[in-house]
Amino acid sequence: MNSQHRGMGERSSLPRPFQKLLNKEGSSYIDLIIKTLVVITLMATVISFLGVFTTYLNLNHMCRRVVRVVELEGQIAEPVYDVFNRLKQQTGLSPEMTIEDVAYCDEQNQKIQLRDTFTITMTYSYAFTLFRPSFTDPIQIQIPMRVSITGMSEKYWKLPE
Amino acid sequence: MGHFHRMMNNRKGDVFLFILILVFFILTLAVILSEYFRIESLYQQAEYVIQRGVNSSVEYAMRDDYRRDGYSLMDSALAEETLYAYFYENMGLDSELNKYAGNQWVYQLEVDRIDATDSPPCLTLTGALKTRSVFNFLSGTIRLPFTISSVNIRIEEGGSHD
Repeated sequence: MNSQHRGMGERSSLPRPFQKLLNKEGSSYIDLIIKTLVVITLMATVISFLGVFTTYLNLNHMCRRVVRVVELEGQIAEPVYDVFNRLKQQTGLSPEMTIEDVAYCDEQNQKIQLRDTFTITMTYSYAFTLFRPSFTDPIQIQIPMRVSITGMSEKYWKLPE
Repeated sequence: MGHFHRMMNNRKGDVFLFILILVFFILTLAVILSEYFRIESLYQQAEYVIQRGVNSSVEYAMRDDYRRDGYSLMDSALAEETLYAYFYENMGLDSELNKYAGNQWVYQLEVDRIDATDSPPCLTLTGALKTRSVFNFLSGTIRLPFTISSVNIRIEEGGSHD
């Protein structure tokens, strides 16, 4: 009984808005609000991070498709850039493409001989938005992405000797 | 042992045993799923690489001297030879068609049959990919059969350079 009386005395000395915080009888209402907020924040974080993975998967898909076209064409030519530009439009990404580790059998026309390998690298910087304040530009983190796939020409070029 | 015996005979019930069984099932399921996706990915990669080999063998063995006259013909013996050269040189398989990643064995390519026809120029490889999994103690070596085929009927190009 004494302790209860002491407790009531302490509570009454605090300003009214803080009295609820020290109330040990408790209502699950505030607890539930805090838990709901935490869950919503977590879900929002997970959903916003999904965008990063989706972008990476799209970049990987783009690179794979372009590599396949080069494999079939055996040449870095118009059809390769056509597919690349079409994929850029479809995915909404604008990565940079570089062709490395390649030995052309015809340097001028960029022909790759049958079974010669090449590597296509695509780099992209994904802007991950942290906050979008109304009074200024959004605060973003740039996440660099890099996909590198090696292919092999399937076209036999019969070159003049 | 005594503790286990007591626990099993305890009629009041204990959640500990239930949790153990649940964890075991969840772990087993996770391992089965990850193993399935690992093998599926390995199979797709190998199939892709083999398909590329079959395509390039047909392409290499095409007889351009006939192509310019409008005929599509292939040197089937050369196609087979080129395919085996691809296995050894490009896929990095050893004489028994084993694939190693470093020192670790990954899979073995089992060639059942190679069907090559001159006209229409077609090369079909029938075989299986033999690999191991963490569940070898149940099933032994896993055998993943495949049939990969490539046909070349293009006649509008080639043979122009004499």
